[in-house]
Order: sequence, then C-alpha cells, then structure tokens
Amino acid sequence: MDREELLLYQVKHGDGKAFETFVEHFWKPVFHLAYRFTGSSQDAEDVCQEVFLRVHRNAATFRGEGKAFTWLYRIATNVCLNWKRKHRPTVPLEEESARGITRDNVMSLEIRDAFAGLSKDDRILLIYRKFYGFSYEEMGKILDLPVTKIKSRLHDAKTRLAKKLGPFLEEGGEDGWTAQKSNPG
Amino acid sequence: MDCSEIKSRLTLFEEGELPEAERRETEAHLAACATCARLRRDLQKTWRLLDEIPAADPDPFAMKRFFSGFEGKHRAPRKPLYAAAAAAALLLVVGAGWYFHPASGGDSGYATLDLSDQAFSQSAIFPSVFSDSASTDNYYPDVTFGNPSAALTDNTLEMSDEEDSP
Repeated sequence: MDREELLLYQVKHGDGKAFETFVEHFWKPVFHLAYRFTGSSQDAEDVCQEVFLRVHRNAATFRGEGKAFTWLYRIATNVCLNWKRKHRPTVPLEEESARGITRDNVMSLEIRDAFAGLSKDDRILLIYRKFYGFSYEEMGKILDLPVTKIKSRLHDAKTRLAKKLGPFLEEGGEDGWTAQKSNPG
Repeated sequence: MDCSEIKSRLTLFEEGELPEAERRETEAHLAACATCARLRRDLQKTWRLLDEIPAADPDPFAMKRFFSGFEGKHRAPRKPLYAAAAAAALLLVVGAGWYFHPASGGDSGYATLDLSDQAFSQSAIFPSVFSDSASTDNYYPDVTFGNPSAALTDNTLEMSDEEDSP
C-alpha cells in the first residue's frame, strides 16, 4: 500500500492527523483542477472545501483496492460537474483586468473563453489529460467510462475546442501569436 | 481509407497509441490529403494553446479556513452551547431593558429581535459548504460523468475547410 492509500486508510479509521496530511497533500492539485474548471479562485476554493468535506464523509467507502488519487478525483469530478456557479459580484479572470489588457492576454482570454464554452465533460477530459497527464486507464477509473469511450471523447473534445478556436487557428494564429509575443509592437 | 476514419484516429496517432498498421495507414493518408493534414495541425495547435489555461495558486489561508470550519462542524459540537448562551444573555439584556424602560409594556417601537432557532443555528455560524443539508447526500461512487443531456455525443465533429464565422 502506497503512502496516499495508507493515509486514506488511516482517515477511514478516524485518524484526524492523517486527514490533515491528506488534505495538505492534495489541496493544491484539486484547487488547480477546480480553478481551470470554474475560472474563478473563489469558486475553486469552494469546490476544494466541498471535495475534502466529502473525502472525510466518504472515507469509509474506500476499500483500498484502487489508487487513492483516482478515488479522490472521482469525488472532485462529481463536485465540479455538479457545481453551480454562485452569483458573486466578481469578474472572471479578474487578475488580468487588474494587470491591464494587453495583446498577449487578449489572446489568452480568447482561448480561455473558447475553453469555458465547452461542455463540462469536455473540460474535465481535457484538463485531466493535458494538465495531469492521466493515462486513459486512470481517466476511465475516475470517470467510470471504458477506455475506448475515453479515447473517442477526448478526441471529440479536442476537435470541438479546435473548432471554437477555428478563426484564430486559421489566421496562422498560434504561430503568428507566438511571433507577436516575442516581437511586441 | 476515408477521411472520417482518419480524422477519428488523429489524437491516438499524435500520442503514438495506434497499432503499427494503422499508424502507417494514417501517415500515408496524411501525406496525401491536405484536409486531414490541416486538421492534424489544428489539433496540434489547439493542444499547445491549452497551456494558456492558467493555474492560479490557492490562497495560502484557504486550507486554514477549511480546517477551522471543519473543526467547528466535526470536532467541536459545543458551538450550539455558545449560541444558546449568547441567546440567553441577549434575552436577559433585552428583558432588563424592557423592564426598566419607562415605555415598557406598550408599543415601544423597539425593533423586533430575531431569536428564532434559525438565527442561532449551526448553519448561521458556519454557512456555505458546512451546512447540514450537505451531509445528507452521498455522491460517491455515483459518478455523473457522461450525462446524456450534456454535449457529449458520439458524433464526431468534422472540421470544414470553410472558415467559421467568429
């Protein structure tokens, strides 16, 4: 049994210190998932709180047969997919506004807008594959889908995002943009 | 081998996950078909552009906030006693004020104080995710991914050569 599974096993048996260590170990990666998914720091923090609350509540269901992280990300996926954005007077991507709009972050915002316009399922698939490097098998366990479905749906998600970025890609987009970044003005 | 078959393989082709025969077949097709080669480039660019999706770091105090709320909810069930004591003290003060005030007993015009259970409930002290209602549901292990009402279908999107309107 690896360290993460051992920790979760201890959480299951009521070890409060193990729960704290588990939360500390996974808080940041779960926050990154939630931030990329929701596009908001506050929502991401709320998602984190909900995820780890459920970890504590459901630790008894962990049977120790699988990996702790697939168990955790399955909960995190559920929280993300069921997340209802709260009505807050916050502007998404507020930090960009504070920094001032430049050509670089306008492009970046376009990409984020396209990503945010995807379905929740597409976003989850792309995040797990791109930023977490999960294998198809791991994603299958987290998302409770056969590997063949994961493969085809990931491809479809990429294709949908490419289509949303179409005009940008058509303009010689990324290469042109990269050139602009290195030679501003 | 038609284009739709090749297009559906492109992600696996890029990731080196295709069996050797299919990989060669795809490679040969891409060398001869400008449309599929273009889609391949678009998918490659799209994958790289995903790096622009940021990963902000969490607030350094976020975990502390979580644990302090968690302690209140799961490890310190005495919180309601504090609330009850505060309510009792408030009642005493209000009662004394009412008793000694010259206009007491009538329509004094004092604002009505909300001393209901709800005002002093646990959820009033620990709002948001620590509400009691959250403890009644159990989402795990019923993962809800793949909701048919979402945009996930088995239809493979085709990238056309025509530029989409923005």
